[in-house]
Amino acid sequence: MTDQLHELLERTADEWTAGAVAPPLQMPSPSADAPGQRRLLRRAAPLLAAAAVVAVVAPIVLLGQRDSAHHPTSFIQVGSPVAIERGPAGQFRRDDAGLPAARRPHGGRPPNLPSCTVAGLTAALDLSEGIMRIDLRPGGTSCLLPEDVHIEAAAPLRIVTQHQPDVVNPPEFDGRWLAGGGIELNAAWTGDCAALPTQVEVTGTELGSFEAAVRGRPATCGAGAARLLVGPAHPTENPGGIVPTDRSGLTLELDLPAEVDNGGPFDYRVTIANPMAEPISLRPCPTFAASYTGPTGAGHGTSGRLPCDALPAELASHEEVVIAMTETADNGAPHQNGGSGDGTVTWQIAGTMAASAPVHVVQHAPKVLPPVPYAAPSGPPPAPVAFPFQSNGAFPIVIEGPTTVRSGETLRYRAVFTNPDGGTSVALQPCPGWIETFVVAPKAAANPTPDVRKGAVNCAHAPAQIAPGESIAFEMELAIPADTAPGPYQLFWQLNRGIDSEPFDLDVTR
Amino acid sequence: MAPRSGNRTARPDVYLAAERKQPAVVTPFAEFYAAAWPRLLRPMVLITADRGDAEDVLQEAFAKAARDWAVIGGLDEPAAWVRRVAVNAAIDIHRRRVRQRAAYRRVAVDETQLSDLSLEVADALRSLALPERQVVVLHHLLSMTVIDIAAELSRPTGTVKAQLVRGRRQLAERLRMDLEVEPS
Repeated sequence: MTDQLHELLERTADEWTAGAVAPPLQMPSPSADAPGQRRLLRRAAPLLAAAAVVAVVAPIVLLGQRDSAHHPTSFIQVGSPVAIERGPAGQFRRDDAGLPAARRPHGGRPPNLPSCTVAGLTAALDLSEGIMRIDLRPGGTSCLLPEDVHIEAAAPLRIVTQHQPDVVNPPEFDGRWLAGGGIELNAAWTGDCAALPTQVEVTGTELGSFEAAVRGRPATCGAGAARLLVGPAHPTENPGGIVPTDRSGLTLELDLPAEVDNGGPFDYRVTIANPMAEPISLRPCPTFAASYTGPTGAGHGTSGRLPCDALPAELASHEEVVIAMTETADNGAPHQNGGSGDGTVTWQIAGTMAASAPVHVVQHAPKVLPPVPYAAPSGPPPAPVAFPFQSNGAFPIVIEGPTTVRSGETLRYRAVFTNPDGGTSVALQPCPGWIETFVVAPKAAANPTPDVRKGAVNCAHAPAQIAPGESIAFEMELAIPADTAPGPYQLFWQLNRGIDSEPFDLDVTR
Repeated sequence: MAPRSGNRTARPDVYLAAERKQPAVVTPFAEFYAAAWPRLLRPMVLITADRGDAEDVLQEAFAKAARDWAVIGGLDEPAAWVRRVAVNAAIDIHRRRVRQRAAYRRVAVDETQLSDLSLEVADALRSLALPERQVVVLHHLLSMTVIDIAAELSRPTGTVKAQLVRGRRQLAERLRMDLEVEPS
């Protein structure tokens, strides 16, 4: 049966997913389960858009130092742009320090992870790179390392294990969750290299011990006793290091514009100040997290590492450093008539309390394009096309029309699509299709059969594209069969599979 | 490094621009998303027994991956991460559907493209409880072992075995197939 069942499932999956292409990715809403709403409210997904889809969080960061008594009046860019690095997979920067709690990888590890066992683990200490890496064996599954995972070695090598001090905003490396990406521990060698170890042991409470291979040679060797300084565990993709406790003495202040356009970029500045009597080190370079939440509640965030080369090594007493950020208010809903609301920007560095401030976001009314006349379906509907579109937290299509229709008559309605500011143009070439669904409303019947029609947009009378901030109505006609039972119904309209209308309620009468 | 002066009041204001970091993240995710979507849709459409639901849970899973793509993208198998999130999220959407189906049935326009045999398989899958459907699809479509399935679904292996036997037996009865109940 196994092979037969495999073939059956394969075949069914093939047919059921025939022609599947990845639709524009959209974020779910926490309130998606509300009755009468579509299964998922669509949220902005700025990270994703296929390349040119939307303007994204843009941490163009300017750094400046200033004395508290002499605030700068203008910014002067010097030198070439410097990348803010989070550290791509496999790349580890030892001068990084921590990720703020809000930027935890994966939003927290999954519940009920089993504890790791030595049989499922492998580890290697690379002395040349200064990295101790722990991985799952091939085929192994995610597991939880013990809190006190550490390295032990035979004399004369001495292992010194570092622990993250208790700071205001402790880093959330989540170095216990061992998944496919592996876990790393910073491992810096000091002292004599005359007798390098050939193996060390990884150990921890309830884990037991297992051997780790040793390879490479330390980049620098000293004259003293051999010593390996091992930092806390962290995912390979995130920076590691120790966040100094005195960084909690820093203060953050946001300087935001009073008003920004929905969908548009805006600049703001963050002042990191040292109000303390003693200097505070900015080494290792702080990691930052910036987030924007728009009036709709949707938002986005990013994190990175401040460019170490531009950052002073320390802030003396009552000194400040100014960081300029560029953000995009790109999650506004496609209001039909304009509107406004307050968004929030939050910014923080590891070890320091976050700062938040409101920003007033103005939504402009869309430019209305001439309506596209109805064309009855003829022939097969067009194949779905991947739309680089984000629906930005709301149904981008609103159905307008009479709320009552007689059975046997033709319902004439308009599906109005609004492309919100800040998005990307929606091309109508190649000509997209539409899907119309007419169904008995909820609670009217247990299992109504929907009446589904598919057709093509009347592109001969439509513009080539719908730009951000533009609105267009697709005129539709639906013949209501004479034998349609009277009662409440719902109408849905979808452009090119994936850009949806909110449900439209109407009553059928005799 | 920005020059610094010992005289604080005379310290020059120095500013340095950093390039946009996001585009470096976006393109790899877009490629991953386009490539992984059709592949991951296959098991999810069988597990949810509804293409719309499958797309919903996948959307949610991919959205989570996108939020932390700098991390997820570095995993050995980011698609496995997305699949695990989606397979587990199927429980949530299943509960939602149970409530909604009391009101109205979901539109299933994509089933019109199924052959009679596949429709029969789809109906047979729907007859299974979701936990059994998950196990059967992961085992028989993706050839995952009982141990891997147990880890993916955070269930004891004994439970997974029992669900596999039960689900396979029920499928066999519905599809009138010969039965071998020992899970591999």
